[in-house]
This record gives sequence, structure tokens and C-alpha cells, in this order.
Amino acid sequence: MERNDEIRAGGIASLVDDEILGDFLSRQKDLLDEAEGMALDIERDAAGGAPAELLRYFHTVKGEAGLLGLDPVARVCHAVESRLQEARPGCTDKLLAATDWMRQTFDRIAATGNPLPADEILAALEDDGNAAGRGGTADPDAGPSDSAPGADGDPAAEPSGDFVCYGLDVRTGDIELLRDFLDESADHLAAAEDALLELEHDPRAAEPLNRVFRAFHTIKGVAGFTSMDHMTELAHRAEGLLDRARKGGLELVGERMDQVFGAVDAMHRLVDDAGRALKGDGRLERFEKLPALLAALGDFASSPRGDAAGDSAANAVPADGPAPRDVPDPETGGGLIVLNPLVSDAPAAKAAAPGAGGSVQVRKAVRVDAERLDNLVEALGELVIAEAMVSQSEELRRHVPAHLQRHLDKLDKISREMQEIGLSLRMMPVRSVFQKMHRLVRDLDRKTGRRVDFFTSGEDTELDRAVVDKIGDPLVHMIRNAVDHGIEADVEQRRRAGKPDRGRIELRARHQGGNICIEIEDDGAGLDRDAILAKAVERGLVPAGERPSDREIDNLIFEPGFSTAAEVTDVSGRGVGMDVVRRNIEDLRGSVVISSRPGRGTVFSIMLPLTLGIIDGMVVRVGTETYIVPTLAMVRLVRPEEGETATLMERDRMLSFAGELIPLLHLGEIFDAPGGSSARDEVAVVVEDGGRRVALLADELIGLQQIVIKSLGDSIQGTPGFAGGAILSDGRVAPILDVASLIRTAVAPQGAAPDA
Amino acid sequence: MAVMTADRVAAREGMYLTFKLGNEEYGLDILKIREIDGMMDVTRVPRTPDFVRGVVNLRGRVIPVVDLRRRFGLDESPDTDKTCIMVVQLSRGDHGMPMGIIVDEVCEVLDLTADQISGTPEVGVSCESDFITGLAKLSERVIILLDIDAVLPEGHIEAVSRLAD
Repeated sequence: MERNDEIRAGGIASLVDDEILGDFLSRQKDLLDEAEGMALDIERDAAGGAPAELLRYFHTVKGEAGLLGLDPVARVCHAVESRLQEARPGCTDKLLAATDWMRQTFDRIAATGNPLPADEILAALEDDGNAAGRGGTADPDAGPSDSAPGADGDPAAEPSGDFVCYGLDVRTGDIELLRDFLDESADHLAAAEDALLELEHDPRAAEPLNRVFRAFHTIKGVAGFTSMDHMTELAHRAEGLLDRARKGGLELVGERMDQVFGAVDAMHRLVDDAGRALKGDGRLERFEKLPALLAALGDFASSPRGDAAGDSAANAVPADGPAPRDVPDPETGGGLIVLNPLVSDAPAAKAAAPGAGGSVQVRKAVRVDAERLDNLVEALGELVIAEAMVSQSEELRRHVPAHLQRHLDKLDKISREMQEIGLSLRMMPVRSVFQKMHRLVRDLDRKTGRRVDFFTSGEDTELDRAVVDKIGDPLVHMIRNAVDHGIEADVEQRRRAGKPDRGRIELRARHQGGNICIEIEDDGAGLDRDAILAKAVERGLVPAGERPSDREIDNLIFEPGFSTAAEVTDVSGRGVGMDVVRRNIEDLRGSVVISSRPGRGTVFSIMLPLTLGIIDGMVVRVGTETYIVPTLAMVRLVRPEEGETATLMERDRMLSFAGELIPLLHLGEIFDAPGGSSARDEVAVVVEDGGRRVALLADELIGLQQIVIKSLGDSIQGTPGFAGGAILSDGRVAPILDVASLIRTAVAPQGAAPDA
Repeated sequence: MAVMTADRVAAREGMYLTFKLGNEEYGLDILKIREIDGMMDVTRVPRTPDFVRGVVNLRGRVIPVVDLRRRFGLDESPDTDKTCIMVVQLSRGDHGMPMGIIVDEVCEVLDLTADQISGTPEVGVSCESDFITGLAKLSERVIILLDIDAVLPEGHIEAVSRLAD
């Protein structure tokens, strides 16, 4: 750690990348002008208090300056921040004095590489009193390196256990800011969790540690501007703990790791609580565990000064002042740490990113209200339909001159392009869901004592946002099953089968055809088919003495009620709530297939459509009407020959299909469709749902189309037999058949007959 | 009870859009009406009540369309050039629900005052008259004022379509 002293001796410029420093300085000129403008605004409107932007500016500069080792600048910014938060009248003069000083010192740094001394300006800023004393909790600073002043009484550690703010009205602050903060926090927490999991695999890895640190620091920084002081405090302490880890003082393993995870969970909870409070009466709920957690984190963060960490930290502090913040520490290989979280797209973030472990591509993103996005996508869809109606209209085709046709073609191309863009707007990678699964496996690992390695791939595969939101629950279920029942509890059993002691579970996502395939594979014992069959016989699902195919047996675990824990778990496992899993997936218009090899493991493959709103559909004519059969439910198209149909009781018609007799439903009859059948082109569409098949007889196949699903309107949506409506290319609406309910309503009244 | 109390009538004051079914003229609170379209291709949806003519494509949105003649049990008559679909906004929970109603002809917008509106006479009105909020008398005409939410009450269509199943 002596290096820090060397660095100091060599001047600031020698230790920081010139480019980063230059970038920082060049930005400050404009920002300082803005800050001055805002300071003047305060004077004009003294009652308003310090605008959040101004606070943000100084906070950002403080962070960046700290990062660059421009310690005097950081200290001045800190003092300004403290003053601003008190919002005393007459602070504008001092603010302007501070900005003047900063301007001069930036010039000086540019020229000589060293900042001006800050003592004078600091004294001026703290002139009338207690600005410095306010550090502590409300102050978003106290920085990662509070080990420096902290040696003799870290202010943040003091209010230890009793830091609470229940019943506090979250609406006292800037509500918009709070809302944004809550939004952002979810992302930061997810990032933190992700990095923590990486860290757990390799506790010495610097890059993930920095990412967690950054996330906590960002949360702390922004929370400081909101009314969520407890969040600030929590993030601050977690950060303190990480800081010590970063300095090499302690390794994040075991209990300490759990503490950090605990902090992430608590922050999740606080964010949720605050969100609820915002919707409700503004009061935060009680969170019993928080004081204990805070105390525990505080202990870790500030206590053992005597150990190696304490020593090295102390050494790092030059006698004359606070430690330079986050001076790159060559020993940890940490590189630069981005400390300007408030301006998330600031160039510094990009510049500093390559510090360790490859560069991170920062995508520019805009947060958009989900409903507006949906409206836009809807409108684009309408545009495409309207365009098709114009360009494909018979009248126009007959009379259109060549140049107009060219324009129409162009319009057609553009509108198609727009529709594609519109659809892509709704897509998001499954990464966030997969990340949660890492955490789940970790927890299960602890709970069940089964040692499992968990791998994911294809996190960047994109799915409709609505699907991503809803696929989480089924995945949780299935992964829990894979850990709990798939992987053998007995290591010996694994060894005998020639498998490594540690179980392996893989979660993969990939494109397959026009769908997305998500697979969960374990290398466990596989499904115990004998036990499943025995259970099925016992429950009367399978007649005694029969042996259905392996596939049919496997599918039995999806039977409702087959699942509840004690039943199957004792013997083989699998099936806890699997009926719910299948239903959830079917709600997303997907399907799930099991393939299991005894002794080698099980793969669950979930097929999902790319988007919820669009399906492939077979357009059929029934009389004079048009209907759509979703292709997902279709098994085969058959042109029934003489002799392949039969009648039961002169009423119910049956079709002989693949050696079975299945019910044949004449759509024209069950829908009372006008316009008789022209028997010549009759086609039977064999559809399947939940293992039951029926044939739907239509008068003619019109063709396969991509169908945008629309509701039929609140009052008639839900009419049995129909899943919704689709707008055809000619602008007319065609009802989409709901195969499941058609089969139910068609088959049920006939009793148990067609169980062929 | 032939005359409504003064304030109930006062509540009926306002702008109405009138339309015809056969020879009778009806009025709807203009705030309930979103738009008026000419007749469109209506797609029948099987298993729905007979007064639901079907669904139409309203600029990309699928909405149900009710044949008001059938709803009131009047004689059917073929659609003409004047047949219109009025898109009304029904109150459903906290959000409105658009629904089309097919009428023979849309007439005009009237600003009705309290003294032009009287209550529903009991005599000669069949039992299902809850949806008539009053009668407006203009020199030569009588306009039947409707509460469209009562004409198509929540759950009505749904209940009938379940029955039809």
C-alpha cells in the first residue's frame, strides 16, 4: 500500500489516465456554468431550497474527483453538498465562491496536474458552523473510503441498531425523484445480485466486486436525495463492508456473503415497501429485521481495525488528510471504479469501464411508459393493416398507374419495417429471469444440502416482455424440482452411476424455428416411471395392468393433483405443482415437453412463441364464414376418405385417425354457419389439447397466416370456443378458435365415450 | 308517477344525439357516443346472443356490435345506406367499454331543456322499460331517451352467451 504515497509524491497527473482526466476537466467547464446558473436561481427564489440537479452535480463531481484522486476538489464538493442540504439563505455567495475556486483549480490541474489547496475555501464554506458535522446519515457521501476519518469514530456506524424510519411519509421529498429511484434501484439490485453470485464462485475476482460496489454506491447516492434515509444507510453500510473486501481486508465468504445478500434482499424489500407506500398513504411499513441487519453490516464494515485490513487501510491514509478515494489499487487489479452513478451515461463510465475484465458495452436506453409503448405497437399494427387494405384493394389494382404503384410498394415496405421495429420494442432478453434463477439455486443449495452447479446460456435471447414477466414462476418451480427431486440426494448413488459428486443443472434459451426454446436439464436420476405409474394406477388415472408409453407416463406428472408434495416426492420426485407449470406455460401459448433418461437426467423443454400478440393460424372457410385455427394446436390436416368416418348413434361422427377413432366436429353445424358445405374440398383439421384429439371439419383451407390476436371486446370475449379475433388482410375480423374449450364443450357432453 | 320529480328531469337536461329505429326516434346522451360510422362488415360470432350482430374492426380494435332492433324486439329490416354503427362508451367498472350499436338512421343533435322532458308514462309500456329515462316532446315529435348502460347492462350479453352454449 506504500504505492499510494509514491503516487501522491508523483503528482495526480502521473497516476490517472490522461484521457480520463482530460475528459473530466473538459466536461466541468460547461457543468460549472450550469451549476452557477442554478446557484443564482436559488438566490432569486430563496424559498425553493437547493434544486436536486445542483446537488447531483456536486455529488457527481465529488465522486469523479475522488475517483481521479483530486482530493481537494472532492472535499470542497462535499462541503458544498452539506451546505446545500441545509438550504440556508445567503448560500449563493458561498456557492459561487466554490465554483470560482473549482474553475481555477481545474485550470491549474490542466496546466500542472495538481489541484489548488482547498483549505481556504473549505474554511469559508464551513464558516458559520456545522456544515461538516452533518456528514452522517442524511449525507449521501461519507464515501467508500470512510475508513479514513472512520478510524476515530465513523459517524455512520454510530446510530447502529436503532436507525429506523417507519411511519415516515415517503412523500415528503421529491416524489418524482423517488419514483425514478425506485425504478432504477431494481436494475441496480439485479446487477448487484448477479455480480455477487459471480463473486461467490470466485471470491477474489475484482471486477464483480466492483460492480456490486458500484450498484450499492449508486443506490446510496440517489437514495440520499430522497426521503429514504434508511436505504441510504443500508447501502452505505453494505458498501463499507464491500470496501473492506476490496481493500483486501476480508474475504466475502460464508456469513459475510450472506450479510451482503441479506442487504440486497432488504433493499429489494425497501424498494417494494416504498413503492407500496407511494401508492397508499405514504407511510412505510415496519421492517423488523432492518435494525439487526444494519447493526451486523456496521460491525463488519467498521470493526476489526486490528486485522490485516485495518492495518493496510490505516497505512493507506497519509497523515495529513483523508485517503484519496478509490485510487486504483494495482494489487487488487481493480482498476478504476466508476463513482459517478448519478450520471449513468457520463463518458467517464465508458472511459473507466475497461478497467478490468473486458469492456462493457453501454447501450443507450430510454425508459418509456409501458402503456405508451403498447399503444405505439398497436397503432403500428393498425397501420400495416390499413396499408394492406389500400395497396391490395381490387379497385386500386385495376386502375393504378405505374408511378403510384411504386409509391405504394415503398409504403408497403416501410410499414412492414415499422411493424418489425414495433415488435422488437417489446422484446427483452431473458437475462433478468435467468439471473434470479442463479440466486434461487444458491438458496436451494444451502437449504437442501445438495451440491449443485448451475449454468445458464442464451441469456441474451429475446422474448416478448410479457412472456419474460410471466415465465419466471414456472421456471422457479421447475428448477426447484430439478434441485430437490432431480438431483440425487445420495452422493453415493451419483458415484455409482459414474457421475461427479456435484449435480449439474443447466438453463438454456435459444431460438428454434419461429419460437423460443427454454430448456432445463439436470443430470439427476431421471423420472422414476414405475413409481409414477404406480401412483397413477392408484389414483385411477391409468387402468391397472396397462403400460402406457414412456412419454405418456412422463406426462402424467402434469396431471392436476398428481403433484402435491408427499405423494410422489417420497418415491421419485418431480411433480410439485407441475400442473400449474403447464398451465402457466399454456397461458403464454407455449408447450412443455419432458425427455428423461433413467439414471442420466431429465430435460424439460419449453417452447414459447416469440410474442404474445402474434400466432400462426390456419385460416379456414366454414360456409360463408372464416375462422382461424391456431397452428400450435394442430396435429394434422386430413381429407377424410369414404370409410374413414363413422357415426355413433346416428349422431356423433367419428374419424379414424392414426389408428384411433376421434370425434369429428362439423364446424358449420356447431356454429350454425350460413352457406352449405361444398363437400368436395372438405378438410378435417386434427387438433389436440391435453392429450385429447378431435377433428374439426371445415369446408375449405384458405391458408396459413400470421395472426395478430385481438380481444373480442369485454362482453363477448370468453364466449366458449373462441380465443379472440384476428383482423385479416382485407380488414375483416375472423374469430380465432379456442381449441381447448372446443374440445371440452364438444367432448364432455358425450360422456366418457371417445376416450380412444 | 306520470311525471318525474323536478330534479330527476333536470338531470336529463343536455345534449342528445337522436337516431331512428323504424318510425320511432330515440335519443342518447351525447357524451356516451364516441363516433358514428357507416355500416361495416360485421363478423358473426357463433354462440353469442342473437342481438349481438357480431364484431367489427374499428381501426385495428375489435369491438362487438349490437343490433338495437333485435335488442328491442322490433321487426328486422335490411340494412340501407343510412344504416349506421354508433360507437358508444359503456360504463364497465372503472374503464369504459366501446360497443357498436346498429341503428337505422342518425338524425341530429338536440339540446333538450327540462321543460321538454317528461317521465315515462306507465300505460302501454312493456315491462322492460328500465332503460328509458324519459320522453322529450318537440312540436311534432316524441323522442325516447335511452340510458344505454341499462340497454346493455353489464353481464347481460355474457349471461346470454353462456346460455347459448
